[in-house]
Amino acid sequence: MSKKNGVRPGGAGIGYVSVIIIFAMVCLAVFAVMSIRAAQSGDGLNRRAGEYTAQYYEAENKANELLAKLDECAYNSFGSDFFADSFIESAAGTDGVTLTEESGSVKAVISAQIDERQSIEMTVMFFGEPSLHGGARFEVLGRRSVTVTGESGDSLNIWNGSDLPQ
Amino acid sequence: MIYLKIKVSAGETRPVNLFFIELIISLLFFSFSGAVVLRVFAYADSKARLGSVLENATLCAQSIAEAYSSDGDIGGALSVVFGEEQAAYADGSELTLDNKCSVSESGTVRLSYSENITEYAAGELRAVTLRFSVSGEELYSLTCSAYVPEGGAAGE
Amino acid sequence: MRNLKIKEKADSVSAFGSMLLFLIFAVCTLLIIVTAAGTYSRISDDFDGLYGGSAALRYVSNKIRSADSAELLDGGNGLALRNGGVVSVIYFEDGELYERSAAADAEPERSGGEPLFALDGISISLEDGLYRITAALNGEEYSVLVREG
Repeated sequence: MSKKNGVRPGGAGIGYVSVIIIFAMVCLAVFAVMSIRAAQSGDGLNRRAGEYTAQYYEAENKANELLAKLDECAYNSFGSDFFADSFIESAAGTDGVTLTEESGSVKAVISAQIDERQSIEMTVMFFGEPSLHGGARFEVLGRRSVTVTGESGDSLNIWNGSDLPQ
Repeated sequence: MIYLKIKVSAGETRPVNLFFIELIISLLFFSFSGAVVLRVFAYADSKARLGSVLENATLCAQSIAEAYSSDGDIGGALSVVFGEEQAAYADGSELTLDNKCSVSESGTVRLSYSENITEYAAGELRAVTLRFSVSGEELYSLTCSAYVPEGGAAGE
Repeated sequence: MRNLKIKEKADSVSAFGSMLLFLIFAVCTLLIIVTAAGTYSRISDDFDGLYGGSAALRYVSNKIRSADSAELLDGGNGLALRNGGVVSVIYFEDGELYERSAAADAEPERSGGEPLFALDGISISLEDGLYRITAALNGEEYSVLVREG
């Protein structure tokens, strides 16, 4: 290496700038990729959650439509001698509805699909004697979402301490 | 070390500053690639902000739908969710919200709602469609309903 | 001699200029990397809030929807949900949301549960047949309403 009058031309060696450039670009590229991945993951999660929420309320809208039709059948059945028979006959064949008579009233279980795995079940009691219930024709006993693959009455096997496992 | 020399005049040469040239070229390369990377960052940032607004809009839509589904009153549902007086929502079909879906005059999120009533012999099936939009583009929409019988139903 | 001195000065100025440019470049690079790190940190925090905060709300609201009955526990930071032969107790303790399942006739206990989500706090209240669930995470609050039953 030659020096001229003690001053090295260039002021500094070459190569240091390139090393810093490469290091900086690698850092920036890694941050950029990680940011894109995080943003896309969050976006996907948001969309799935939003879709499920919309599907849930679509199912509930269907259930409310069925409730409206059943209420119409109940309204039309009040004039007849046997409310339960008349109501069940007029509402028979409605998809997604299961009707059972209970002491002159009719219990309806309305089911509407949310997605492949879940559905909404609305249990409604239509009264044969509205005057005994403050003039109300029906009462919504409950509304819950159930998983389609299992029965809604399934419970977990909780060990109660009585029998030791073999 | 490699040195380049340029001839300044007859019999005189001057060494070229290689470090300077390397610096200039590196700066050029850095500025081009930095521009690309910053574009990627800006895209990721805007996607994340929009995602945050969508998340809040979904939760807000669910809250409005739950409050509406209990009695079929959209004004009452909005006052339960946003905390304002019910009369504030009596006339109108649009609200301006901020990114956290709180009512704000200077917000960028628009919530528009429209009600549709289907008459049945024994009552009304009321349905409300909620639409959240940002800069005119629809971000999220949801339709919820409530059946209101004539003569009422017993409480749940 | 004089020419030599001028050349020396010129070389020094050139070297100084190069160093100055290098310093400016290094500072700009550092600023850009710090900005990029800050942007990534914000995106990552948003994602954490999304996953932790709103996912916790959705989980609790789906549990309420699928339960036969729900009961608020003392203080509003817990819920006992009965479904068939099982009671699930969801409660908040020490920065985590826990869930514990037990037989239906057992007393709802707020201990021994599985950790679900890390949160700063959660509150559940019931008003006019609507549960208001509010979760706090990283200084942000997320809130949702769910009908009772």
